[in-house]
Amino acid sequence: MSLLKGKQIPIGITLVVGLMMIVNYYFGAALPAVKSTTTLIQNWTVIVAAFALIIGLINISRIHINHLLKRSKGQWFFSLWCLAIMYIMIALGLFGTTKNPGYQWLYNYVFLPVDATMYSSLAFFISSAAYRAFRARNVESILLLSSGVVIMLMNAPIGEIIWTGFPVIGDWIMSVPNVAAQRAIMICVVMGSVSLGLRTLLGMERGYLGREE
Amino acid sequence: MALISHQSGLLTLIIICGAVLYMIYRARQGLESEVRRVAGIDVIDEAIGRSTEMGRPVHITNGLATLYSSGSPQTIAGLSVLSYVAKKCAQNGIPLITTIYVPETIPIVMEMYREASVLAESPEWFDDYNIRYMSSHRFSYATGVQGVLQREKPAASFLMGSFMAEALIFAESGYLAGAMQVAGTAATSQIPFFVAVCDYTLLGDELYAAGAYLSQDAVQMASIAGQDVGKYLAMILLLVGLILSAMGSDWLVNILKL
Amino acid sequence: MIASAKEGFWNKLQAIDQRILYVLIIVVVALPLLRPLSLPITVTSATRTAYEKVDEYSGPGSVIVIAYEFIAGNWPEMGPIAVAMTQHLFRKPDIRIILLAMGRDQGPILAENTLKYIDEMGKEYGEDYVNLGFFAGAEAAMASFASDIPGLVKKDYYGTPIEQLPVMSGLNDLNDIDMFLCLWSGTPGWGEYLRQWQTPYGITVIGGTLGINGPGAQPYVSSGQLKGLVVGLRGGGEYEKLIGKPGEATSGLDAVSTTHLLIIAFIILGNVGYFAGRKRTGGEV
Repeated sequence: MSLLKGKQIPIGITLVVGLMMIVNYYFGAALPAVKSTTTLIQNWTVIVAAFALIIGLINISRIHINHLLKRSKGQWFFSLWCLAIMYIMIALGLFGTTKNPGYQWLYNYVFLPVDATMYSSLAFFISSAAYRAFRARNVESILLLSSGVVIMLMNAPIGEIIWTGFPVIGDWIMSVPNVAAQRAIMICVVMGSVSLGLRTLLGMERGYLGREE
Repeated sequence: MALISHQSGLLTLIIICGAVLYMIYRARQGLESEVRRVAGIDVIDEAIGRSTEMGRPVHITNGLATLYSSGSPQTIAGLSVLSYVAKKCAQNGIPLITTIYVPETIPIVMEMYREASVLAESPEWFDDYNIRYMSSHRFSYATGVQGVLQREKPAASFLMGSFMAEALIFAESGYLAGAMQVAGTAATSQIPFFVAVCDYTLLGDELYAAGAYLSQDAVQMASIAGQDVGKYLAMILLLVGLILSAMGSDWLVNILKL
Repeated sequence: MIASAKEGFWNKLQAIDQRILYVLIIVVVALPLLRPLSLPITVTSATRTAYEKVDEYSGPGSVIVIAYEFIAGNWPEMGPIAVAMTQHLFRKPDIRIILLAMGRDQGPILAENTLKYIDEMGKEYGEDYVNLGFFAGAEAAMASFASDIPGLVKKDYYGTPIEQLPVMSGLNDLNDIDMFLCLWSGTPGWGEYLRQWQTPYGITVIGGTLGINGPGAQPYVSSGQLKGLVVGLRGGGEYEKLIGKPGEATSGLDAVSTTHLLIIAFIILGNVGYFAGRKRTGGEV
């Protein structure tokens, strides 16, 4: 029973499945049994993740029903709206599929505009961040700000009208220093993920399983 | 079709893994590796201390990447930070609110909360109401987190994981709520926003190193040193490739395409 | 008194109410939409290259796959790119077009949305083009499609069996696809297709993505893994100009110009206030 309570089983599963995925990626063509097993495991993952949505549904429902029952001030009517719209869409989608006219109407005339609105709200956050946080405190931030300004003017048609040099310089910034920096960050990220993956496979990185000390 | 796919990638992986394992072996022999201090990780305790003094909760969120996607290392790294933060919040007796996008992490986070409350010997700290799944749709998640930040007004907010457009929404909302913010992501498109708005930012592989760094375990820290071998290898390949390309040779490019 | 009044002014300027900034943003976005400035749009070499590559790889008899890997919230920026590039392809004679999504479950709906905006030029569903819908599993689905199309694809988005769709006949794996148009906004997206399609099979890929993803995708354009890339609303407007069909991007670019100028003004004003405030307080913030 102590084996079940400890972390050995999850770490063991992580090691076996992780090694299988690596072997499949590099030797899959020569080992069809491994390839088919990993495909099966990947399909299981997708199914398990789909079931995890049910856990999420229960979590949301608990929290918002709690607000409703307590009549939380300034919150309970939003919780009512959240639960109502969520269950209506679930019902329409489940019983009528996504091609159901009601589901399509809610999607096209409620969900899509609200989604686009939230994305558009970024414009306001960028404006307040630009005013408050983009400070030329040192050489690096001056470089960051000036290249940002040039790129903005490269992307806007008015930039070329102000000065024809903006698209030229902007193009150089995108093609040369930007590519160099992106490649450097990508390489470092890859190294970091290999190290993290190795620690996870070896059972050294256990933070995601909870702290023991 | 070749029996081994991506041969050059396999060789690179073997070299990097070999280097990491060697450094781990050295650490087990007592030869510790020096790892530079990362301000964004060092300040986690300070941020939690600030929350304790102000009597306000701590907020943490782990971003968008599911556990079976290519961004899952960021989520795993974020969960490592979460478990550390949970332990500290349980010890200090302040609430930790976790907002979740990836539903399969809900049981993992619950287990972390439970273990943190047991380690801190305060079972009453565990409150699953503080584990809040928002949505698996990006802007619904963004709206939910924004609401939590504005209503709960945490004194510290940790944004650790893979983020996209909602990064700036979180950072600005956290600023307006008066939270001390520490962000960490490998998403290059969002790093500039975090750097500009948050108090501290973990860039790229610093997020992946966070779990090892927080453990203060010499063996785990050695694995961070080991990954530097991969960076030296990349630099050597770049220089050699530059020289060969200048001479008109595609030899290295063709080798790396294998 | 005067010194403290000026200090107060700079401090007030730095602590200006956010809502004033938001109102200014609303004004500079709305005004050009209501009264267009019609600023000229010059086509950049990046978009022109993407256009020419689409022309080059969509000759008669070719099979094109378009992946709609973005969400509804991205429609204002990705929609014009999707519409313009899809319209470009639909004008090509004697080609087969396959619409699908493997990373974003909203992809097929957005593909349908795209088709509402284009002139299908007499192309028939099932004969010349098909919407295969969404395949769950991201990279796993991409790998399956690449190696065995009939094994993965059993029916289209509407439930029609593949055997009844002539557009899919003779397609066994990715080697039968001539060009892949990847329209992505994040993850899963180009990175996954790069690993599962472009690197192992060497398929020709043209990309279309958000402005914010443009810098991150540039290394792949430099290396030739992406033969062309259309970026953001500006790229969408340029592509609309190239196909001769102005749309939402063209009308939106005036607002882009005014908004960018305002953001630059905010940056300058914020820094002026910051440095003036520092000077007054002897270098302390």
